[in-house]
Amino acid sequence: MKCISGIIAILTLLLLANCEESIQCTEDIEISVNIDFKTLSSGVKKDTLINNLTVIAKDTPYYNSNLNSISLALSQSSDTSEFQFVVDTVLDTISFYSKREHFMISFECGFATRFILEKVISQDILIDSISIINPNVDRFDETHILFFY
Amino acid sequence: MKLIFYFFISCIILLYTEKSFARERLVKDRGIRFGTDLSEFVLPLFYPETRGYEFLADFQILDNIFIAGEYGISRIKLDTDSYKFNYDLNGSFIKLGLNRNILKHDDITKNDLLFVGFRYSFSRFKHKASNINIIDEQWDEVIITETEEISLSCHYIDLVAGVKTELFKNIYIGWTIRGMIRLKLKSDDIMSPYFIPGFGKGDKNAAIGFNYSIYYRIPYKISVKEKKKNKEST
Repeated sequence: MKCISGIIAILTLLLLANCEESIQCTEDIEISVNIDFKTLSSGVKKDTLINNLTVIAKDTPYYNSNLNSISLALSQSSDTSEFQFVVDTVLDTISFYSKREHFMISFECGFATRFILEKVISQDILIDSISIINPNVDRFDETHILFFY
Repeated sequence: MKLIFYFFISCIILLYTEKSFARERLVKDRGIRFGTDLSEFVLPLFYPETRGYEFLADFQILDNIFIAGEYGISRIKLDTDSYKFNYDLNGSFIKLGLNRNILKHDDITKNDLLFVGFRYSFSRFKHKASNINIIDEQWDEVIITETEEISLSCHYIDLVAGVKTELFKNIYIGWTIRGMIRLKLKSDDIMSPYFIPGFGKGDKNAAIGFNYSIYYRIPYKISVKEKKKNKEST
């Protein structure tokens, strides 16, 4: 019994020594607010494509394409994030106001920021109206805002 | 009449003799065992982020039934050499339950055990992350922040099996393998715990554990009825 007890202890410690896990982040840690573009005709919402749309954040072009939806990364250090939406030469500034919370994705990937959208305001130049349909911007891939164009 | 009286007296004397024989008592060797988990001293060699101590005790209440208890403390320290933030966890755990010896001994002075049992376990701990670096490439910012210290607790059940063998007089050595099932964890929305003291990885609902322990037994003698042996001797 003493001998068996000792052998099992040594085997278990060897097993534990070989169980070391690697510390590598394999998850997607991008958290973005997802926006769908819609038109409203006779009270019916329809998907729409915006041609030649350029989105600028902090003077850097962010999107430049024909799109019917976009994903924008809000500022993780400020409660306000401003984007310029440009179509041809027409510019509209959209301001996102949110509460922020840093949270852990995993020990391998570290922390990220999730948001609760409070309000989204445009200058009503390009965008007719804005509807927040899900204020919780978390890791789930779902639509948060509708922009009526 | 006299004959009947003598018959009854004889019967009563005989019964009394039988009873007094049944009451003959046998001295048994029992004890309270105190121990410590030696694997806790070896694990930091493989997992330098962990520190822990565990103390164990058992006490025989019936021939093959023992009340068993364990108490331990754990500390985890992760740093930015391996992770993206510093992390500290401090806590303790307590486990209470029963062991049943399934090893049959012909010699009652032998105290080696092959046992199965269970524990109800409770762990209470605090954790905190600091020096958290969040790199916001889109907005060209680096955020350095920390979390508050949060208190957490966890209830879980251990199913155990193991051996204890007497190495020298009253010195025992033994191992225990255990399967643990998490019942309830008071969670933290900001950060899940890296480790649950006494249980293992914080993101698992079930875990396997191992102890290799050394014990000292404080012996004492008790006298017990051994009806079966007495009857055999009559």
